[in-house]
Amino acid sequence: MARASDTLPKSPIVGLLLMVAFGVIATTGLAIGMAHGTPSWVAYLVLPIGAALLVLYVVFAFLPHVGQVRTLGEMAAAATTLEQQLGQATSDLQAGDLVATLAHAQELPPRLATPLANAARALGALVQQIQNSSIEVAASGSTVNATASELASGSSQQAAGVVEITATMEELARTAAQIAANAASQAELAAQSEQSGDTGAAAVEEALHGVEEVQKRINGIADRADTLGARSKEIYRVLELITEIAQETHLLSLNATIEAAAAGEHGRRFSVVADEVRHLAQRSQESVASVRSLLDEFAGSIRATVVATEEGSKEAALVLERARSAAAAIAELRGALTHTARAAREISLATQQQRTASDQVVLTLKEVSQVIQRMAQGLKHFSVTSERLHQLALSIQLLTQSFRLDSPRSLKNLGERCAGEVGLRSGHWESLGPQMEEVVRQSPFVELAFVADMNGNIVASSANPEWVAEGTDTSAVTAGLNAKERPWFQAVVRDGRTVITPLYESLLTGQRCFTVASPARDARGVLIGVMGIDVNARSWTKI
Amino acid sequence: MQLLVVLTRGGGRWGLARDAVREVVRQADGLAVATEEGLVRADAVLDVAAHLNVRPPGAVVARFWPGHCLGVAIHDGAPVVVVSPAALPPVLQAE
Repeated sequence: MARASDTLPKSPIVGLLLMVAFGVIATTGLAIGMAHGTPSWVAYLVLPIGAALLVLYVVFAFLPHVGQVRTLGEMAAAATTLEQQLGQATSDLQAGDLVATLAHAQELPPRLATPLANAARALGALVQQIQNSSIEVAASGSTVNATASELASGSSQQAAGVVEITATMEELARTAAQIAANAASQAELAAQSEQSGDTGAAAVEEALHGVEEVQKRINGIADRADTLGARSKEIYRVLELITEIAQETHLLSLNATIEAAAAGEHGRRFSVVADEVRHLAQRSQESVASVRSLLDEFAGSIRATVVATEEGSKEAALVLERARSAAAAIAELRGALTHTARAAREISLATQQQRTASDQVVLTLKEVSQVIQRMAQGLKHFSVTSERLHQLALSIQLLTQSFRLDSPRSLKNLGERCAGEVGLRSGHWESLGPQMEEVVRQSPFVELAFVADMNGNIVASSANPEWVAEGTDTSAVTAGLNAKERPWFQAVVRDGRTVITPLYESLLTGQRCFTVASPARDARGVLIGVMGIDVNARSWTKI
Repeated sequence: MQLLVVLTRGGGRWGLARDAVREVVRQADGLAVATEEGLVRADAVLDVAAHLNVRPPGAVVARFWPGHCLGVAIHDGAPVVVVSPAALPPVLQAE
């Protein structure tokens, strides 16, 4: 073949040169003939020369390569085989089955196998990177979503807290206003009280002077009462003297009467005078007694006056002391009122400042609340965006899963592998249960693993307890299911390859999932069933 | 006609013969009538009566009278016991 390939290009060149030469000669002959109006001998000469050249071309170009034509037939057969192999490989590549592509590439010549295998490996590596990246993007999206949700919840709580704080600050501002008003009123009252205190202090001072004056006058009355008492004693002494004189006179008159009686008729007149004197003495004594009685009453009155004045003086002293205490208390009260008025004015001023500050804080809090609300809305958008990002990552993952790779993360490869094991148990469906359970156990993202025979009956299945409540009878879900009506079953039967469905709602869990369906073949390569793996969309990042 | 000096003492009226009386004197707690036999205590000297009807005391009065009673008279409607300065009842005796 190498020799033929080396000689083949020379024959067309020689033939081409001969044809060009024939053409040039024929054209020249025709041009000359047309110039003379009739065909000249040149034209008749050129045509045989051209024919001769054509014969020479056949002789020199094709006769030496008759053997090579036979070799070309063999080469065509080899090329057909190669074309089939290459077509199979490219078909596998078109189907995304890089494993099969690599397997079929091994059958190709090295100069085709190597670049095809390299290309398949590079594509596989790229797909794996995209798969890994989509998982990382989904994980990051989930993290961002969780963080955004947490921040949204926190911002909502913050907003609620700010609203409460705002309400509290507004209440505080109102309270501060009331306090300011009350403090102003208190300051005014304190000022009025201060003036009243001044008036009261002046009144008490006047009362103090008045009481002192009364005390002085009471003391003067007491002095005069003492003087009257002393004078009454003198009157007593005079009365005693008068009494003594009257008694002596009475005694003298008695003796005179006795003597006059003894004098008989001569002493009669004298006896009458003596009787009169005696009577006068008695009347004097009686008058003295009356005067003494009056004087006793007078003295009693004076003593009562003295006692009263003493009590009045004591009362006046007590009132004076109390008045002085009241004056001191009023002075202290006035000082306290002055202090209270100043404190009330300071409180009023401080509360007004507090109200201003509270108003500013309320304004700031309202701005903060608006910022938090905007931030919450942004976080909601952020959450929606991250959810969208998660969905995009899932879409990318599904796109990458359309390739079958020799990778533990390749679902098609997993399906093919499981389907291969199912094929080994052809005719023994009852032994597939443990295998399905093993698939679910080793792959936490699998919601349900099952096998359908060619009649569309689910002959074995196992559900993941993480997604399906323990004790749930999965057979009840799959009992009425005819897999032959399912697109994935039909696609597997039609293409003979593993397929991955779009997302749909799971009959088992009600959540979104997708199915990896792989053909199960027996040892002869006959399709005996379909191995299905339902992947829960919420746990696909565990792939 | 006998002159009697009528005096009061202890709530009663007493009579002394004028001839037995020397003078009326003052005492610390009242009066006293000075006689030859001594002082006769008196709260007051009421009169020197000349026309009193002095009668001897009856048997009953004499029996129960503690001292020597010269007679009984009526002076201004009140009974007067006439006594001798020599035999004074205790109420009239000076301490």
